Amino acid sequence: MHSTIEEMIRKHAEHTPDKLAIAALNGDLTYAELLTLANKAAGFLKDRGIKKSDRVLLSAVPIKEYFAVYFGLHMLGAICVPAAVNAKRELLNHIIKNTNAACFFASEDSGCYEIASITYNEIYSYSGTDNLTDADIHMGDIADIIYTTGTTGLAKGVVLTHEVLEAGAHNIINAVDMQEDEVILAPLPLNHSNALGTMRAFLYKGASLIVHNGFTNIKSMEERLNSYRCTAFSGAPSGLKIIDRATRGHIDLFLKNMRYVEIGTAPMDMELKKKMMQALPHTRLLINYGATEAHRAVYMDLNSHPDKLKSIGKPVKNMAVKIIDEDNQVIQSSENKIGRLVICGKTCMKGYWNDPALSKKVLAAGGLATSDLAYIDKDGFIFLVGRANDVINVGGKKVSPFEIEDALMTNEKIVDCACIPVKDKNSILGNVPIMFVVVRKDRIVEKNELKNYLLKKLETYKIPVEFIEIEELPKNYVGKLDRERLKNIWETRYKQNDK
Amino acid sequence: MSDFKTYKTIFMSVFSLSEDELENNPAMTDVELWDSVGHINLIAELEDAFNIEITMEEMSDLISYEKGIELLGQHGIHFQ
Repeated sequence: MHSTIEEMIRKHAEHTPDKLAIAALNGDLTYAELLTLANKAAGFLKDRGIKKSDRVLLSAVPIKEYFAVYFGLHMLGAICVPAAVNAKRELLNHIIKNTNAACFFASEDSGCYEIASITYNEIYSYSGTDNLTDADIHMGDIADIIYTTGTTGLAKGVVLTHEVLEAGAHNIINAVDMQEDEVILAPLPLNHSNALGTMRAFLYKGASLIVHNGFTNIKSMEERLNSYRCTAFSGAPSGLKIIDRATRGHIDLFLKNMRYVEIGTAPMDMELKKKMMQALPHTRLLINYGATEAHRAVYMDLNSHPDKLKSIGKPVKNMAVKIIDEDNQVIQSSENKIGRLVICGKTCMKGYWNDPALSKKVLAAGGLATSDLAYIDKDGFIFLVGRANDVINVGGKKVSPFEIEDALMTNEKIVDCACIPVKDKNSILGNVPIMFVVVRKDRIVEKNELKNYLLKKLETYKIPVEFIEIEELPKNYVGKLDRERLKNIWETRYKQNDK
Repeated sequence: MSDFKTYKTIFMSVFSLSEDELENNPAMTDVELWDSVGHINLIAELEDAFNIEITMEEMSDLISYEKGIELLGQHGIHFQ
């Protein structure tokens, strides 16, 4: 029998009402309290005219009220569209327009959006006591639209039904062997597929979710880990490196009480894998792989498979993978026969919002055709060997070079520009973008000028770490930018040696 | 280069700030590039430049330009 996340929260509120559901930044919620607050949020939204299938944009602030609105919207049959707390106005307005959002729960009441914004505290103005148990919700109804960067400049909305959300919860619960008394610290942003999946899985199971505001304050993170007696931790590889650096290499002590550590959003380099295995040899170190479009599809347990460390693991129950060639034909894969990785199974999206053509294209192979080139070995382990497009993964966040280039081309001093990924010299983010620019002959660009220009338009993780002036960008015989040659130019002429 | 100039240069470089902006005591909450990666980069640069080791408690107190000056003072580095 299938249940929405909200139905499971109701069950837990009935059976274990006083159990901690969420420790938000502004206070704790038991299951009973979470249900009450979600009902209040639903009542407030219904009063405002929000109805089934309406899209509502939510700034993903890790406070009690965000969770209440998120689940309250689902109770109404409405659709959540989570957005990053630091998302720029241009992106938010694009999403508002693309989804025809009914309203926007903003982190700041600035009033400069295409629709009216609401602050989270306004839900307390609702004094009714609705208990929405009879809402007409079906598992096939759309629950969330998650915006993600793809191969083109504009963010696209990934459509996820309640069925997909439940499947994702099951994938995680099974992969990590989640217990009912599990308590996880999850410092990742709550608009991101990874953190949202963790949140849903934990509440589906009736376990406890402890949030934290990123990795800037490691001391407070440690205090939360200890005071809530966490048994699990979820983070990106860049987050683990920050912890390791902040603790002077003692990530073993920091995470010593974890039954498992789940790592996702970005590839994990071999050095970090080995360091974690050495630091926590008895802790399950679980790397997840997937996409917003097909989340938590593949898992790798590092300590259980020390001979397969280069692999991303195997598909979880209810998921499968295949390798296809350029003609979308499935191939019998091996180390010598690589192709494009396709993820099939219950967490595959229904499509992109308002983009049936692209949806059809990426789902044409009977699953999600990822951007990754891969092979599957004789034991069923998947190995990634490269990317089929130019998307840059900056510490777990996908960045389209086209989006950065388009933003910079609006600067009248720039004739041409091109963005490529390079290794982060601080070894935290994996890859970071750098930008080659061709400046107008009669113009001078000051130090930091272009960086500051882009900061007004793009989120910080999209800002190139370096801007290099060049006379001309390398092009191929048809006049198209040759990114591979540009990468070569970087390697041979500009890359500095590591310290 | 004096210690004060070194400190200012680090701040300006890690967070892309101008010298004028430093006079407003930029803080973690207002500087765009001061996220967790920016924070750890600041710490790494200060440790390298001043040959000090910043504790985890000190890292969480390092929330503004002036707090950084205080922190260095606790490590015996004082600016005129």
